[in-house]
Parts: sequence; structure tokens; C-alpha cells
Amino acid sequence: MKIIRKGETLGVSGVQHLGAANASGFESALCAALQDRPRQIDIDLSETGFVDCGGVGALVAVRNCARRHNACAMIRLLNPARPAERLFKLTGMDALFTVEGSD
Amino acid sequence: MLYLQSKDPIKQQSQEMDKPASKSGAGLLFCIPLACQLDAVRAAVQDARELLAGHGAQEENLAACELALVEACNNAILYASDLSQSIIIQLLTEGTNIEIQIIDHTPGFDWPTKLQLPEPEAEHGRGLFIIQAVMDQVLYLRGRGENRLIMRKMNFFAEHKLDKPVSEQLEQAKQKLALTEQVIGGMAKELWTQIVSARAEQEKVDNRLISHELEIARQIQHSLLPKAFPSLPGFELSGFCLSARQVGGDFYDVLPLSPEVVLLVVADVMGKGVPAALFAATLRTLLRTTVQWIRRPAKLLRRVNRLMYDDLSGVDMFVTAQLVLVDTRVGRLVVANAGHCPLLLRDDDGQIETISPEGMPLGILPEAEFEEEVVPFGPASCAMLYSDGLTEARNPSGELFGPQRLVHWLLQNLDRNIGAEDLCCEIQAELKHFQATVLPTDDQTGLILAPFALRAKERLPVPLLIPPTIAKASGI
Repeated sequence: MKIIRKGETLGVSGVQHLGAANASGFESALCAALQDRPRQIDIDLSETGFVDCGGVGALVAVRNCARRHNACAMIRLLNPARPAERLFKLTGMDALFTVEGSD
Repeated sequence: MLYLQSKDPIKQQSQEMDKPASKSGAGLLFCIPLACQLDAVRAAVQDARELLAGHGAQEENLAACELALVEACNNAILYASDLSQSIIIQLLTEGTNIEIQIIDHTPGFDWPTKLQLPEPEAEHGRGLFIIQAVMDQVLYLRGRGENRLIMRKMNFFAEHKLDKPVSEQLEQAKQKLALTEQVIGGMAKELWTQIVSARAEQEKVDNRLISHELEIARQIQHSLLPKAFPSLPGFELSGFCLSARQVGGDFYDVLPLSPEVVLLVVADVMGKGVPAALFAATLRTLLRTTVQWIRRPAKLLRRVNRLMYDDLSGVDMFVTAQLVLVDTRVGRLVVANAGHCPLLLRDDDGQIETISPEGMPLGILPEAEFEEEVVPFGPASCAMLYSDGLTEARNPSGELFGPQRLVHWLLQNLDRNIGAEDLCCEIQAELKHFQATVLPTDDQTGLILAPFALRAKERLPVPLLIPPTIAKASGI
């Protein structure tokens, strides 16, 4: 996983999968990076092959953490695969995050 | 049912995957034990997915089953009580339908009647909702030591790609067999559900009976505690006994021997529940009768130990006890101890002293001897008897309340002139504050003898009731 700070935006990419097995590590790494209080967090899911309920929980935890550091922080989930996009809709995450597809 | 035992899940998995699927299209397609580790789920599920993809499953259905399978396995691992027991994943086909079974050994749970998503900001609690949403049928069978989550997806395979039967007769026979299997399978599942339900009902009945018996025993035990405390010249007595479970092994008693003399007792029977309460009741009765002719605490303990030894040692139980004879005429305490917590004594100069004469718990040795200690007890002195439930209380960090904290609390509070009853209330509040959310694991008992406080003096003194036999022996 790569985390790059560019101006007010924190870019996250290279997440192979996001599930219960790696949710805790994902959440810890991002929450540590959020201490710089970025205004926007872009999580690129184009390389993410699989997302489960644990992964959704980790994304919510990151959002909660970001909001604690900066109440105006916005998180975008970019280029999720179709199953992940369906999961976000199913669990109501499309209302919590800005989900932007590749097409 | 095809099920291969193997110590190496990966090896077994590949063995299973190499096998051709049933030509009838019905039956077990895949069965592997999954190690109870979250890291192992992804690889196992990917193998299952590849196998199903090879049988012509539609991409959308594959993704749904993959997600449901992962959620089910994660749940079984996260709630497993024994990580050494594997979880079994089975994939069964029936025509174009797929059935996924997850067999786990967790304590299980009650499947919610209505599954809802948690609040959007919640970080957990979506797994079951997802399973229900992406699968067509979900059935959870909870058993004793084994649970089975059955998830079905209809029309899973786009086209039934398995080979056609060689003859029509054979096809008909297979269809009949499949129907019979379905009927028997349905009956077995129904029977299993009824067995689980009957077991749960029996457990409920047993628990209700046990609760009822414990409630009766608790009422008996509380009825054994003094209803009121005798008044001693210049002093006030008060006590409390909080049971960790419904019935505990602690009790205290105050036996008035004359208007100026009382015997204080605090005891702790090893263990909890009804047996401990029965021994507490026996000890209380023996002390109340024996004290009529034996007043010295050490001799009293020796006598009671002889009387109870056979019964206690017969069930491997013992009792710790502390007896304190308070004589306000001459201003002294006579203390004897049977393996119990020390007596905390605040003398007239405000110093705290711990008094702990030698003595074995009751029920250990038939001819045990007990030492006795005589200490002055002035008009400003104060004494506290207690059980180890106080000092062994823990806070949420696991820290003990401890004897030092108790002594410190006494030093801070005994000079406040607030009387024994208020002191008892305040030490209970202190313990509750210290324990916070942690439930006590042992009974907490205390008995305090303190000088009359100004506020306490305003209360009406409880009439001193001395049994006629004691009054006669004391010349009252």
C-alpha cells in the first residue's frame, strides 16, 4: 500500500484486498497518516481485488478517524471494481463516501 | 458424505479439486477444513471460486457467493472459542443451484429475526446482513458443539455443463434417488432443528429451576444476618454482606453477651452457592449455641472446628473466621483468627494496627489450636472485620483494591466522626467506584465497630435482646 501526501490531499493506492484479515493494518496505517489533518483523502481501489464487511468497517473507521482530526475531511473511494461498488451500495457506504468509478 | 481428513488443508484441497464433480450434478463438490485464521480465508475462498468458475458459474453469482463465504468464515473465526478446531467449508450442487455450508465449533448465536444494517458510522455488524442480502436462502442450525450455516444460491450455474446421463432409465433412477435424498435430507434437517430446540428448552427449564433454588437459598442466607445491631456504651455497630453470586459463603454475626460485651463474627466459607450457604448457616448456629458456655474466642473456634471437621473435610471444604470479643467495661478486645483476614484496629491515638493471631481455617485439622490476642480498646478506638472479597476486588485494569488501600481509606475516614453505619455505606460506595464495571468475583463482607458519632446519637438505639440462657449465665 502506498500513501502519498500532495498538498491538502492524502492519496492511498496499491491496496490488493481490503478484508477482515488486513483491516486493522489498513486502519492503523491511515489513521497515523491522518494526523497531518489532510482535507481530502483519495483511496484508489483500482488494484483492490476484493472487499468484505471487515474492509467496509476499516473504511468507516478511517472516516471516523479523519473526522476527529478534521471535521471537514472528505474521503473519495476511486475506481472500485463492480463487486466492491455493489457492496458499498448495499451497505449504504455510497452515502458516507464519494464513490467514483473508472467509467 | 465425502469428507477426507487431512492434516494439511492445502493438500486435501487440491486432492478434492482434482476430483471430477458428480456426473449427476447433485452432491458434494468441494469440502475442506479451514484453519481458524483470518489469513487463511482468502486462499481457501479463491480456490472454491476457481472451482465454481470452472463449472460455468456466472460472474455476478460467483462474486455474491465469494462474499457470503468470506463473511461466514470470518464470523466463524472471529467468534471461535477454540482456535485449534478447523472450520469446514462444503459446496454442494443440486441441478443449477449451489449450497454452501460452513460448519463451525463456536458457541453459536441466535440468528436475528430481522437483519438490519447498523448506523452508517458503525465499524462492525454488517456481516450477517450482507450474507442475507446476497444469497437466496440462508439457514442457521445451532447445535451443541457444532453449528451449520447453510447458504443457497438458485440458478447459480448459467448452464448445467456436467455430462448428460448415458440412458434415459439411468436418468430417471437418478432423479428418483435425488428426490429421495432431498426428502431424507429435509427430514434430517427438521429433526436436527427439533433436537436443538428441545435441548435449548431443557436448558432453559434447568436454568429456571437452579435460579429458583438459588433464590430460596439466598433468602435463607440473608435471613441469617442480624436484623439489627445491639447498642454498646459509647459505640455503634454496623455491617454489610454483598454476595458475588446469588448465594455466597460469607456471613457476619453479632452475639450480645451482656449490655457491655458482644462477640463479633465474620466468616468466609470456601466456595459459593448453596453448599457454602448451608455451611455458613451451620457455623452461625453452632457459634450461637456454643457461646453460651464457651466465651473465649480461641476456645470457641477450637470447639466449633471439632464439631464441623468431619462434615467440612468430607466435601473438601473449609471455613475462615474471625472472632472478636468486645468488652467495653474494661476497654479491651480478645481476638482469635481461623485463617481469616486480620482485624484492623484504630487505637485512641489514631494509629492503625493489624491484629492476626495464628490459627488454621476450620475443617483442615481435627485438633487445631488457635492463638488469642488481647488488645486495649479505648473510647475513641475503632475496629473493622472484613472478608478477602474487599481486598481482592479488582478495577477494570485488573488492579486489586488491596489491604493498603483499605488501611488508607480507614485512616482518611475514621476521624470524620460519622459513625459505623455511614462508614459501612461509604466503604461500599468506595468499592463500587473502584470496581466500576467489573463484577465482584467474591463476597464482600464488613463489620465495623466505631465510637458513636454525633449524628448517630440522634438515632433511636436498637433494644438489646439477650437470649434468656445467656442472660442467666451472665447474671443479668
